[in-house]
Amino acid sequence: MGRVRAPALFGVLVCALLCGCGGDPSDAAEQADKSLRAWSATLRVAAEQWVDRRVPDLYFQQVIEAAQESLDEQAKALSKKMPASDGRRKGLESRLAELRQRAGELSQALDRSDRGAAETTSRGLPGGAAS
Amino acid sequence: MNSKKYLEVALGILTSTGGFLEVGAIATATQAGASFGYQLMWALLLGTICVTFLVEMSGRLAASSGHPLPAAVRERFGFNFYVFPIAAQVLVDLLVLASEIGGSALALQLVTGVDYRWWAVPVALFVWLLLWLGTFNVIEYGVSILGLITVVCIVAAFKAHPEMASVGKGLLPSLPRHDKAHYWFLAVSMIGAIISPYLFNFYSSGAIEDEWGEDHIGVNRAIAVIGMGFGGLISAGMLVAAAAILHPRGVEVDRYEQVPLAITATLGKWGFFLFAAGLFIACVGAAIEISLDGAYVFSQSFGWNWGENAKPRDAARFSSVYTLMPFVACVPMALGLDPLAVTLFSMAITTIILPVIVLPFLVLMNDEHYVGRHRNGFVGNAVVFVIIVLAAVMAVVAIPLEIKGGS
Repeated sequence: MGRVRAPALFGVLVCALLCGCGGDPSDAAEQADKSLRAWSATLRVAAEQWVDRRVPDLYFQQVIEAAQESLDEQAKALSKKMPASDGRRKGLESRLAELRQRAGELSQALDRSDRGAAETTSRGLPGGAAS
Repeated sequence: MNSKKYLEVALGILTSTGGFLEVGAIATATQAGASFGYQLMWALLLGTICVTFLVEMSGRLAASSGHPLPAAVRERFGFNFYVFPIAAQVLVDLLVLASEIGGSALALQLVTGVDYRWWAVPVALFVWLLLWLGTFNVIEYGVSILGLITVVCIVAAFKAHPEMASVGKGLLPSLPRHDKAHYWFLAVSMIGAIISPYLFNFYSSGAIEDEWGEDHIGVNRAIAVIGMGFGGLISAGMLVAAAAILHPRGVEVDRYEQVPLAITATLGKWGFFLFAAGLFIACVGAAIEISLDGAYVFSQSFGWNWGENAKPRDAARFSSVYTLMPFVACVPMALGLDPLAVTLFSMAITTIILPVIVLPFLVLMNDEHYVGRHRNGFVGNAVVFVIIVLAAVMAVVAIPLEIKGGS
């Protein structure tokens, strides 16, 4: 491999991994589905621990914010990589919106220190199971 | 062995454990446990065996030849050959250093709520101040003793009551049932996180700074085996805690913010604060070692004065390199690059470049001119060669698959 091509290939690899390229709609749908299940499970575990006073408020807030950011990124990736006509996109967007709403509810419960509300919301979150 | 030697062994073990633990080991072990349960324990075991051999070799080289690794490779193979390994080493050092600064910044974010991007430059400044003001032993032993907080990972693992049969089964390699590309990518990232090339340069240069001679061969062996073994145990604790707590609940780790959940489930709030403190100390310790490694590599390659025990003005170019490195490496984190993505990628790239760094090292360890009667045996050569080549091949295959997102 020539001197110029090796660093160029390395640069492409870095950009590809860090920016997340890959335009296959099926891959995007699979990725979004996986992310949805993982973040739903994360929010449920974090909420349960907050309700049990096992994590500080500040940390619970960060988990919720991380979930919201990741879900926003997934929504953007879906609209970019899947055509609007794809039936799977609508279903995934609906699930994303629902989960973002639940994350918002948890954030409000945290603001009010309302552990009962957080428990109710977390019970309504779909839990992911290990495959 | 006299009491002074026992003390040397104890402090050396602490240092080795501290060297083993860094953000890559913590992140990859947690991801592995969360995504695949105990199934990737074998990668951790393989990496720990290999790094134990390599660390022992780097100490033996220094003790028997009086040469640190970078200087010996440059002298044995010539500067023209050495250009490629040095370039690869410095590039990977900067990537891994960025990860460590990101890990320290994330630890500060966890306890303060202030975004990690704001902490990147202060962390780089803190690392530099420690390097500028401290001596080799004060920095190493200080950071390593504080780094014992990471034992919290082992406590969390025990309190999670893992199925020991499954843990044992995970020590044998097996094929994944799902996400094959991610499985192999994580395996190579774990191996890359454990077998960090900076560790060998740092360890052998440290041995020279501590004026090791042939009478330290036994001490070196004890430090390598116990220190690396203990470091591996702490990483295993993180993997087991994640496998027992996060995996059954379907939590996959995409962000560092999810990692403490594996600890807090059993240890509560104090576990959270200990984890954050342990992450911060482990990452700062690794950042110091990597910055020093860069300075060692450059100084020994170009024949400059070097030594962390020397005053900065007496080793000006050496000090300039370790000053520059943290400030260059903090830029990607300050700009908001995802720390976890940078960590995983830098660990995988480390695995690819390992043969370039390690194979000349193996040649040296079989050269009587350098190590005399302390040459490698067949087992040491074979274990290291097979693991390094295997891991590099796995990395070359797994990285494109991970990028493609295939399963």
